[in-house]
Amino acid sequence: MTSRNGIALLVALVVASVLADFAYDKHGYFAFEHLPGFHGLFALAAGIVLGLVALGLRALLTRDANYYAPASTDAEEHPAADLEREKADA
Amino acid sequence: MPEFMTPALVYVVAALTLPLVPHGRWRQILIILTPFAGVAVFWGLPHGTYGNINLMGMHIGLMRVDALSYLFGLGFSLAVLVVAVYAWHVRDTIQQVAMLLYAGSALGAVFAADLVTLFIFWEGTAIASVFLIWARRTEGAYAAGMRYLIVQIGSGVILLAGIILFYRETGTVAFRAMELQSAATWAILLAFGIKCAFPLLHNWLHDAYPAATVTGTVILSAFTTKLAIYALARGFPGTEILIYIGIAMVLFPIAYALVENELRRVLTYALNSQLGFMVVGIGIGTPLALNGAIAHALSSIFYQALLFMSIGAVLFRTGTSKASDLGGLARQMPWTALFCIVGGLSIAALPATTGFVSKSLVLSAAGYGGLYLVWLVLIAANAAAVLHTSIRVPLSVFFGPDRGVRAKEAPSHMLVAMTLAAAVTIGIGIYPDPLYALLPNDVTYEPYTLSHLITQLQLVLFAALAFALLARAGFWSTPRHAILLDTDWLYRHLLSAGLGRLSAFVTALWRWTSLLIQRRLNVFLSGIYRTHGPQGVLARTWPTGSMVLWIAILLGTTLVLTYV
Repeated sequence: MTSRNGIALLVALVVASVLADFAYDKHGYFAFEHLPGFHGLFALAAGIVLGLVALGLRALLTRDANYYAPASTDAEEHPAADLEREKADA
Repeated sequence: MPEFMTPALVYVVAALTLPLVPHGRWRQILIILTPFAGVAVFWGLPHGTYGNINLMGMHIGLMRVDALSYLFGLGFSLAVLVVAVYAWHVRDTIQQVAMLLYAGSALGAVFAADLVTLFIFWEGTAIASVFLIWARRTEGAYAAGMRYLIVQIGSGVILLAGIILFYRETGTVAFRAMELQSAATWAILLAFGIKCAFPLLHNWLHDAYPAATVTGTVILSAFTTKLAIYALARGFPGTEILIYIGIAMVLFPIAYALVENELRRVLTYALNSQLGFMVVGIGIGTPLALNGAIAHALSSIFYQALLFMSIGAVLFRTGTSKASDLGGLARQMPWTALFCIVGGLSIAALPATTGFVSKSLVLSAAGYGGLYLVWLVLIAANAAAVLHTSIRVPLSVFFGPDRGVRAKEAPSHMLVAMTLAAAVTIGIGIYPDPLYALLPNDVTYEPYTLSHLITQLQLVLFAALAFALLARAGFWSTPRHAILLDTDWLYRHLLSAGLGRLSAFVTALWRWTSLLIQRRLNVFLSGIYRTHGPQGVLARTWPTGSMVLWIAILLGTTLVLTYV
């Protein structure tokens, strides 16, 4: 499945989930929950907003992996003694 | 059962015996059997306190069996079994002993009926677990372990101070629900908060866990923070401040989890956010909310372990767990990919997973309590978990662009461990009644209502859409060889840089002062030298004639003055 098809499927499911809101009696805790598609739209908005916050954070707080070296494992290779690398045949 | 019994004793005996058993099958069997023997200690015991001792007037209870401790005891024991199977390949005695002592301490703390026993096992978990970090045997891991140990021991010391004050105030060390009304209980809450990774007390988690060995991270993820959740549920149920702390805790790590490159660190941020759900539940404090916090703590042990195990297996085979280095491994590690997806679905609280049946309890408790802002934050965090863990982690490792990494499927023992954790995750997700029946509060709750199913599915689908939209905008391209600064920068960089500057200033001041003193001393000494040195006026040798002349003058002057 290509990513374009995947997104088309996702959009179809998203639309279906909103339409489903009209087909049953929603039991929410708050009045605003009864808006059709509320949970979805709120999740979408939250995802995008938190994503943008994270973007700002990344721009502000990214440093080179050696920043704390040598008192950090970030720039270290994981020691081979703790690994069992085996290449796949593929 | 003998009166001094506690499951911790079984683990300590196993840990002490283990080095005497040669590496190989017998040692592995000993490790696998330990959790069963541990469960046998408390299995089916009537509720009550066992192992009662009177210590200097304090009532010590080594093993309190009630609904809460029993449930955590079972959960921790099952987690030991899972991680022991996962660590089947480990031939490092230090890690094996540390694992048993760490898990035993966590169980000992869960069953402790008094604060003194709790303190001993609290410190036990700190000391034993640091060896899982040091077992990596690199300079970075040593430093990370030292930082971890300082924070954990600090938590223990604050706990001890709180216990002493509490004993002075109340005359008892019984570990039961407390009110936040004195320095004693605040200190105890702070100690619990450090271990629970409250916001700004959380750095040790993201610093130390990714620095441990492959199996060490999985073991660490299961116990320390869940023990803290247990302690909060026991000691501070219904404490309102925990709602606000929990809210901050749910939100704070999300941004980091979204953009961090090291996937084991992404999972620690995700874990931290999930801990927030539990803290909120404990803060709300209604029977439903407490049940939710406890159920979510137990369910998160397994789905988090599943995620950590799958990424651990990738690290084990490829030598890296950085998102920027991985991709397209699904064909080579299909089972690991599947288990990672199951863990991801559970953290997203998709129906048929433990995440759904446990998180719903907390969400419903917030809903029934009319806490709409709290509820909205929890929903937003749930959506974010879909982005940063459920989709991003499997996608960046097992799908996405192939970065040329070729690796065999995880070893069979790791797959067995992941199967166990996945079976718990899905089994309890489909049939939650056994978990609900064991929860301490008698509350009837039905997670699988049509309304709940559709709204949750809708939430996950829209969150997936948000992921796709962000992906289109190029959001997920993570810079390689980069780290993100967290608030530990304050003590790892600012404090050390500040101390460095202070030290340089003091050194310069000292040099300047000593130089000044030296110069003054030199001037003084050369003055003395001038007068008393070999060429000095006072060191000159005088001729006898001039001395006699001066004496005559002095005597003459005295004579004249006498008669004037």
